[in-house]
Amino acid sequence: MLEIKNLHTAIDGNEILRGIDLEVNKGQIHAIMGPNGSGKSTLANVLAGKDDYEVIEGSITYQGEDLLEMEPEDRARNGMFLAFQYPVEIPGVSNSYLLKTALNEIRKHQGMEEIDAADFLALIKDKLNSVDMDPGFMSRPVNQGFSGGEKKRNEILQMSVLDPTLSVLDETDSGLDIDALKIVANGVNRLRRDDNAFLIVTHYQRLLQYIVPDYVHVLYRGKIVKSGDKELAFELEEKGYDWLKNNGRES
Amino acid sequence: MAAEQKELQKYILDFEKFEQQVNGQNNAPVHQMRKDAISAFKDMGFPGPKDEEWRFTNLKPMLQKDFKPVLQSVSHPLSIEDVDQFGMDDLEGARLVFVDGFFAPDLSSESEIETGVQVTTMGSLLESNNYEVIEKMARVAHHREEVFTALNSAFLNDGLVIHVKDGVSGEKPIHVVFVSTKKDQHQVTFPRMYVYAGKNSSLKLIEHYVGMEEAVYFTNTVSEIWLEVNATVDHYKIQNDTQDSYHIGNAYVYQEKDTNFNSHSLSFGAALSRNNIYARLDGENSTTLLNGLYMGHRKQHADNHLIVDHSAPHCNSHQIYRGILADKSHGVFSGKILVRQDAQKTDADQANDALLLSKDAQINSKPQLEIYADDVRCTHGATIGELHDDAIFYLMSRGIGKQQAHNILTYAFARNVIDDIKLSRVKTFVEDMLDKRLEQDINFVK
Ligand SMILES: Nc1ncnc2c1ncn2[C@@H]1O[C@H](COP(=O)(O)OP(=O)(O)O)[C@@H](O)[C@H]1O
Ligand SMILES: [Mg+2]
Repeated sequence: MLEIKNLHTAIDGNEILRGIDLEVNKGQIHAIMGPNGSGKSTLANVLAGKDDYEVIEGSITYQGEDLLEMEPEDRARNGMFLAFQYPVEIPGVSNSYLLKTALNEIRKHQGMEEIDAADFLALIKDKLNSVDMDPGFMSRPVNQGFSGGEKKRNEILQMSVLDPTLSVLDETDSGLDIDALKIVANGVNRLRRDDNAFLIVTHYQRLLQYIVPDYVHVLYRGKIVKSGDKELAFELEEKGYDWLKNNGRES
Repeated sequence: MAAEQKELQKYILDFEKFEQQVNGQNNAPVHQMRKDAISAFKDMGFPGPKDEEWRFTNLKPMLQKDFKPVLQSVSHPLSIEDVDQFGMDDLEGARLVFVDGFFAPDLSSESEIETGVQVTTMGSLLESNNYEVIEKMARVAHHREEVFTALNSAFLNDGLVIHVKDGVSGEKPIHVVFVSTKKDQHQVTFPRMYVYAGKNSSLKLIEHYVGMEEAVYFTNTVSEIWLEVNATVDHYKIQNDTQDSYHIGNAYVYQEKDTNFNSHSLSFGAALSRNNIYARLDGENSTTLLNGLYMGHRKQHADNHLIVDHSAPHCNSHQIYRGILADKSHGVFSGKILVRQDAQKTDADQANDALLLSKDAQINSKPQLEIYADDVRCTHGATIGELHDDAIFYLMSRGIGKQQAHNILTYAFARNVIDDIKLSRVKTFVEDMLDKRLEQDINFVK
């Protein structure tokens, strides 16, 4: 589904990702861990198509197409979803307007009709419940005045409504209490199927107690320095990142 | 200097022509007012770039055009359907139409005016030598202080007088449409409104300025609104003049105690527009809301000057203006809060936010606080911004195209001014105007 080859990117002339190779297939959950500043958000944003980053070398193929040639909205319409580390506040645009517009853009792309108001409400009601959000959130401006946890749950709400093919979660667990963490994990687990995939960026292994990843990769200074299964996450928790800093890449 | 003289002279000559036409009124008080106004006009002259209040608004191109005053009503080419096309034709209540400065009864629905709301045209008052109301006018609209008010008073010929009787609630809005039609010649009209809201009365009034496609004209309008004790007036001004026309409007508001005045100024049209609003709070416990949205594109110039004059204690005022400026358009905002010595416990705020959609768009924003009382709360804020890249990317990452993301965010910016509009039909009209300008149906709330 997703194939990243030797990806190098720079921002303002600084090379941040320095040769990433990663393959994500249908039905898989990959976790990406790593200390602050290692390039996790950079990778997530490059996948979503943020244009602050310059790709110096390498390629990304998504569903057989050159992802780097696609506009961000086309990536989304083709099933890519990024849950932002810092969800953006948008005064004046209601949560329900955003979600309905997004859903309809994706439906249009798939040759489906726009969803009508009643069906949308019915769809939302259930999803709101699953992320423990009050329906009142839908009429509020996107993320404005939301607490940190509410913003993250709102991302999960969007994810579950848009039903992406590839979901990238950028530290959605950071700053959450245990209840909110479970909501996020449930959101992923409920959506998990053998025709979709997840790339879960996290700083701690905590989330991975609730979402069992197929692979864990450690990103350090713009490179994947170690890959393994879920055990690697626990190992990291025990030994800390320092343990890796001395190692080069192991496979 | 010589050029400025010429520009003045033109209007003075036109005035002489006008005088010959109205010689039946030559000894009437109204004509004394006109003469007084033209002499004030001569004394003041047109403002130039050195005039502080006109520093950012260049009148040269307008003054160099040879606008001819329309001195008498002639038959017009419009049908009711033509007027419908300017929008809000399904609005409930009376629609009163002026064509090239003169009342057009054939296009108007006077019969829908509610009982207790007395509406007369200035033309008919003048004709019947009924000067009672006209003598009341100009109590706040001082033509000795503002040259365009002087010019309007000098050419006073037709307009509207609305008198809401004590205790009467005008539930349905009165929709006044001013249409300019002439394509072959440049013309100037001088619409005049005088509104008197009696004790415990209320009124909803819409002033709506439009032109036939390709018409090039100058509208110089003055509205005076007088609120007696405990009156409420909701005043909407929709300026949708053609892209090559000029619009200069002066509104004067006088508020007795316990009054509410709500103004919504929605400015979309004209090559150059200037809206002055002066509101005087002269009785306790009164509130003024001056709310405005202006949108410029191409090379439009939109200038808003507000003065709220707190002369009595315990009053509130709010100025909330938002501007959306695209292409090479230019916005000017000047908002003044004047708190006189007696006006203790004044609560006044002002906000002007401008959104610049292009590198060539420009805004000059000038807040002014002049406070002579010590126990007051006054705040002001101005922001100038562009659309946020982060917000654009967030929307795009949800499948929304770039242009649509821009439009949604622009629309959202206008939202907080639109949300304050109480008449839902005006609200949807403004939303449609926005859609039209953005060339996309954003369809926000539905
Ligand atoms: N806009 C930017 N300009 C310059 N450097 C940046 C910018 N954004 C991120 N970086 C740098 O890129 C590196 C990786 O950042 P990031 O991808 O956010 O890391 P992580 O998400 O793993 O904490 C950091 O050194 C950070 O300082
Ligand atoms: Mg990060």
